[in-house]
Amino acid sequence: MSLSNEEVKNVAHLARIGLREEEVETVGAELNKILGYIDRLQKIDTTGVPEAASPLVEAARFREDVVNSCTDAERAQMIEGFPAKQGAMLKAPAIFEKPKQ
Amino acid sequence: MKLLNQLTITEARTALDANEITSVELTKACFAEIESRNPALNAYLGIWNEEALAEAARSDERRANGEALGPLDGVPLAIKDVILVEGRTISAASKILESHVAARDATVIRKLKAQGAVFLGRTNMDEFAMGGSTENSAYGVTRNPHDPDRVPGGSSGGSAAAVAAHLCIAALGSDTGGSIRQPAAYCGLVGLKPTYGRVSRSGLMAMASSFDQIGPMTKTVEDAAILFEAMQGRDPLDQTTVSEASFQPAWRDRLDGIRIGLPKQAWGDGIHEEVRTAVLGAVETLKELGAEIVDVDLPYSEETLAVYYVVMPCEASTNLSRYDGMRYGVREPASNLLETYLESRGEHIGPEARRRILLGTYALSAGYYDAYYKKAKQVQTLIKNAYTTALSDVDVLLTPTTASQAFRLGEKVNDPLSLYVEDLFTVGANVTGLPAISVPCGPAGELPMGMHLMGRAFDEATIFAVARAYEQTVHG
Repeated sequence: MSLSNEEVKNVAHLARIGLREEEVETVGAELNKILGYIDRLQKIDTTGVPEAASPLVEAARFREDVVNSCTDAERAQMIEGFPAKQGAMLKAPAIFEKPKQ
Repeated sequence: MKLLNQLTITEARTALDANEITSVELTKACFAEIESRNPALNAYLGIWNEEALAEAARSDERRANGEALGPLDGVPLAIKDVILVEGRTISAASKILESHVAARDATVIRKLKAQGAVFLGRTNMDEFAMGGSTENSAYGVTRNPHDPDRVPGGSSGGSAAAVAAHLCIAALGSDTGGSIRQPAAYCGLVGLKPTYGRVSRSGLMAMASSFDQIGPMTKTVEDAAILFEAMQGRDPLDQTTVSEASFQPAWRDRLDGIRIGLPKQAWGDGIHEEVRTAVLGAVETLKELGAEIVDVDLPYSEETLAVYYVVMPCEASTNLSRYDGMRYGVREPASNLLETYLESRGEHIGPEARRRILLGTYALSAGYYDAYYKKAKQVQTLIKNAYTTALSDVDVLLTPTTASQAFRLGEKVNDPLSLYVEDLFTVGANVTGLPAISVPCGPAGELPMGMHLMGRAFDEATIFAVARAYEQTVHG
C-alpha cells in the first residue's frame, strides 16, 4: 500500500497537523518507505489467531470507577499552564464560527 | 582515587554511610562536572541547582540524626525530560511544551523522593522519546562522551551521556522500543527495561502506552538493581502495574544450571564484526562461568519490528493528540479553532513525532484498521507465543543490543527507516512485555558495545544475576 499526495494531505488533516505544501512530497515518500517495510506482515497467515490484548495478561484488570481529585496545588499549577485563561477558566477559540453575513 | 562524581551508587552509599563524604559534596561534584562538560555534550536541558543542593543538605542532616531513609538517600540522579517532577519544567524535548511545568510527581519520582534521592536536572532526549540518536530533540543533539562526533543513542541519550560522562551518579530513562538499552550500549552503561507492569507509568509522558516502561541507566549492574528495586511495585495510578512478588536481587558467582539461548535468526548478516566478536566473546565467558549455551529457534525477527512500527505509531498518534495547544503548551494564534490546531501542531511538533502521528492516524483510519492494526495485533500474538516457547526451553535469550557501535551524528537523519532498524534486537522485549538488560561488553578503550539479555516475565532476577556474574568476571 502506498499513499498519494492527496492521501497524505487527508491524513495530515485528520491528525490536525498543518503540513506546508512543499513538505507533502517528502513526508509522503518517507511514509511510503515505512509502509513498504510494514507490508511484510501481510505475508503472515493469521487465520484464527486472536489479537494480542495486552503485552502481559497479568497486566490487564479492572478497577472500581471512583473519582480521585487532585490537590489544590496541582490544580493551581495546571491553571497556571493554560495557554490562555480568564480567571481560573481555560480560554479557547470558538467552536462554532459566526454565521456569514 | 575516583572523583566523587565518578562513584557508583554502591560506592557513594558506602562513603556516605561511613561519613567520608556528604551528599552536598557529592552533588556539588556533579554540578562542577556538568558546568565543565555539559556545554559540549548537551546532556542536560535544565539543571536544578538550588533545589538539588537543598535536598542534599536535608539528606546530610538526616544521616547526622541517624534518620537515613534508604539506599538512595543523598544520591544525585539525572531524570529524562519525560518524567514529571513537581514544580519543574518538563518539555519532552519538544517545542510545543517549551515552558510546561509539571503539576505533580511521577510515581517513580515520589518513590525516589521517599528514599531521599537528589535530582540534578532533566536530560535531553529525542522529542517525545521518538528516535534512537537524540538528534530529534528540539534543543540540539547530545554528543557521545566516548566520541563527540557520534550519537549517544536514544531516545534516552541525554541520560546515557550524563551517566557515561559522570555528570550524575545514575539516571532514569524510558524505553518503548529500546530507548534505555540502545543508548546504554552506545555509551558503555547498564540499562534495564523492566517487565511491562513492574514500574508505574504514572507521570511518564505517554508514547506507546502498551510498551512504555521507566528503567535505570547506571554504571554497574548492582546500581541498576538498586534503582529498579526502589521504583518497582503496584501503583493505584497505573492500572497495568501488577502485584507480583517484588524483585529482589539473587546474585551468584557461578552460572551452573542456567540455560542461555542464542536465537538463530538474530545472528545473521548485518551485525558488524566488532560487535559479533565482542558479544560472542562474552558468550564464552558465560560458558566458563558454568552457563549452558544452546541455539534456539525464534521466528518473526523482522516481523517483530514491523509489528512495533504499526502498534507504536497507532498508540502514539492517539496519545499525542493531547498536544493541540489547548490545555497546555504552546498555542499558535490563528483565525479559527481548526487553524489553531493545525498551526500549533504543525509548527511546534518536530518531524519524527509528526511522522509517527501521521503513520498512526493512517493505520487507524477507516478502511485500513484491519490491514494494519488488527493484523499487527494478531502477529503480536504469534510473536508472544514464539518467545514463550523459546523461554520454556532456556532461562535467558542472548543477542547483541545493537548491530553496530554508535554511529556518526547526521549519518542516519535523512533515512528514518535506517534508524528504525536500529531497534531490531531491542523491540522484542517491548512487543512481548518481557524484561531485558543491556550490559557493556567488548575491549576497553574502544567504542562501547552491549550484550542484550532477555528473561521470562517478572524474572528480572535471572538476567540481573547473569549480567552481574559477567560484569564481575570481566571488569572485576
